[in-house]
Amino acid sequence: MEQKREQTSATKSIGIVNELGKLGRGWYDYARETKQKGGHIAWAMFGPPPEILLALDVVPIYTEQYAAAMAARQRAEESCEWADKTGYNIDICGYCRLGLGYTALESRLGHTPENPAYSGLPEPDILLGRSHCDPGYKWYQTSQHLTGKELPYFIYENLYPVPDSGHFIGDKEIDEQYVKFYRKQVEEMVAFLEKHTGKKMDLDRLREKIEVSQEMRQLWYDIYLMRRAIPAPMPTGDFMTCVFPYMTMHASDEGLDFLRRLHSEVKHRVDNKIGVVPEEKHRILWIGIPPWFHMSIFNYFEKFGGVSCIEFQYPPALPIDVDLDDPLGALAKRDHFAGTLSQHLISFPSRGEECYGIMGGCYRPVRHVMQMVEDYSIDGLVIHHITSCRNALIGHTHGRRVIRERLGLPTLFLESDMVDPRGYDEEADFRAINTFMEQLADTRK
Amino acid sequence: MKNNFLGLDIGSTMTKVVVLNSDQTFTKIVRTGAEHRILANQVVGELLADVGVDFKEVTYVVSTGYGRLNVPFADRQITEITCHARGVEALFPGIEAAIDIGGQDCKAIKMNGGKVVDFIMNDKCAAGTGRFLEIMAESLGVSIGELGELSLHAERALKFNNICSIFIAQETLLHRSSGASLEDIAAGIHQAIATKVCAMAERVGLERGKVVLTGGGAKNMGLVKAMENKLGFPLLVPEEPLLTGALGAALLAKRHYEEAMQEGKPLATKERILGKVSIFT
Repeated sequence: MEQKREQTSATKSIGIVNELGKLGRGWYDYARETKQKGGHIAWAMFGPPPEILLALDVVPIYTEQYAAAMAARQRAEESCEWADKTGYNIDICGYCRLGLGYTALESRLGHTPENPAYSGLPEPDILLGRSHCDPGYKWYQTSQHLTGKELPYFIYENLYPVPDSGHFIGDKEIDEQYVKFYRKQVEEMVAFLEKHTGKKMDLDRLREKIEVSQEMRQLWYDIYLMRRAIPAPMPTGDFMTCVFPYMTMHASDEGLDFLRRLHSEVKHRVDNKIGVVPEEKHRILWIGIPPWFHMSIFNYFEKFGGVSCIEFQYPPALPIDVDLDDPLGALAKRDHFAGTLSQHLISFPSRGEECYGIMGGCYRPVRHVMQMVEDYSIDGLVIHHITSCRNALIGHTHGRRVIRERLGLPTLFLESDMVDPRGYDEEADFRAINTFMEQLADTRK
Repeated sequence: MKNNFLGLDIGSTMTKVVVLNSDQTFTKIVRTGAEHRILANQVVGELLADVGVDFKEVTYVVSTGYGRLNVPFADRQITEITCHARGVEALFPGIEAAIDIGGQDCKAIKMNGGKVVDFIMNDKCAAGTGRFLEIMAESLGVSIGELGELSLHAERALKFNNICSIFIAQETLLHRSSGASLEDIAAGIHQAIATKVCAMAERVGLERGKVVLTGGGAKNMGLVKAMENKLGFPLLVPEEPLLTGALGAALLAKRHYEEAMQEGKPLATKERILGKVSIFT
């Protein structure tokens, strides 16, 4: 029943989102120019504080986002096939598999593969992994084997207290230990980068970057809150695309400028009740990474008057005040409270099935989904169950059961990969969505 | 004039029609052809002629199934899961779950009062579908009807290590070459399917005595028994398990009509013409 997909990218509601292609190319050009001028490029996972990187003229290239960009441009297949040829199993994280396949192909060709996103993945000088999931550090360990080039490598540890472990969110003694750990780690990261870039950290410059980041975080959070409006001002398809400037361009002036304008456009739409569809009937909460190769799936809901109006992925952390007199301490505090524990979740229970994470640890507990259902007037949930993202698989299944039992809302499970389109059956997804939308209509009566 | 409500379920293998009015229910089942639109005209025309109802006397038409979009005279298209739930509820009031094993897919539906609460589909893999049983029957040189019957006379169901249709077919040949009986092989095949289907269905939540089995798979007693063994409780099977989707479609046609009447809304219907339609028009 597989049919050729006529349109794969999502039709945008937010005008400024159409600028993102240009913005992305600009960032990658900036990375290459910085390197030519004596700066450095880091392949990175989102986690190590980008303010530290930019303050030392290290431009981060987030390889997970690059994999998403390749998929969105329908350029994922070749790299995924090369991952297969190199022996990387289909059960490995799709982002990682695409990245390794790309590196393997590039090594074989001796040049950049044809027609890549942003003129290709720039060669890194430094690698910055994170402990959040196994590809977060194994990817770069492996890419060094594939290229035969050993690079300076730092792995940033994100701490995710596990529910029922006794590490209560908001426990002062525990919090102090975590902040202390982050402080030490941030200092080590600075020392590592100073050593490998040959530059000395300028704390005033770091302060400036943190200030930019603080404003970006506030804007991102405000947009998240504004999206509670009815009709929905911004659909998930647009939001997912905007993750690029928020993450890749984090703490940069260009990123801040984009978010200011995005905030302004979303506010205008809220103030003037401009919705995604003419007559909004069903509001959907999307859980999971999207199928980047088929973003038009979000428009499919709109045919039924449905809008995926908010998502559980890439949430904002609650903005917190930090002491800029001590920029390293500010980053440590932020990474603990905003990055890991998300202060606004402190009021949630620390024990029992409601606090189990949809993702790892107690970060993003099921209770948070339940709260979002209320805050965003949600009628149904769609869980994109990515079988290559082991970090989410158990949580998704658990979350779905708890949500169904506690809230009784229609919940649809869709299964595919985040970047690998091979084996994707659009028709099967559409069939499931058709029934799901009938369920929503039936519930509404 | 009586109101007649027509439900048409064009499945991948079989096409089913139900006409309901205040007195009676009429049904017809034929094999699905390659051209759904011509078939739809033909099968509906034949049933209406048999029961003496003019097409102009049909109040509302709902189509469902794989081919539901290819019915030019359907007033509304509704997915087969929604229709199955409604049809099953009509036959077994208060039922909580249904498993439908069709020609090309299988699905499990959790329901409440005929409304879908949750569902899960397997349509990316042939194992667990009627087509899979056809392939197995062909490889053993028996009819699909005989395959189920054979499995009921097994001494010891053989174990199959694979859940992939292609590899089970290979394993079947290996078992044959090593002298295994057809009965034991057939039972093993049915167990393999039952394992796969039940594992999927359990995900929506099944309770003893509250599960209906529909679709072509429900006509295969070997499969019914294998699934009952796997689940540990008996399944409820309609007298004609192929018809639940079409019945649900007809009932939803009736509901839609009644709602429109209650709300005083005009009922938009297609022209009642059963002319032949080609895919090229």
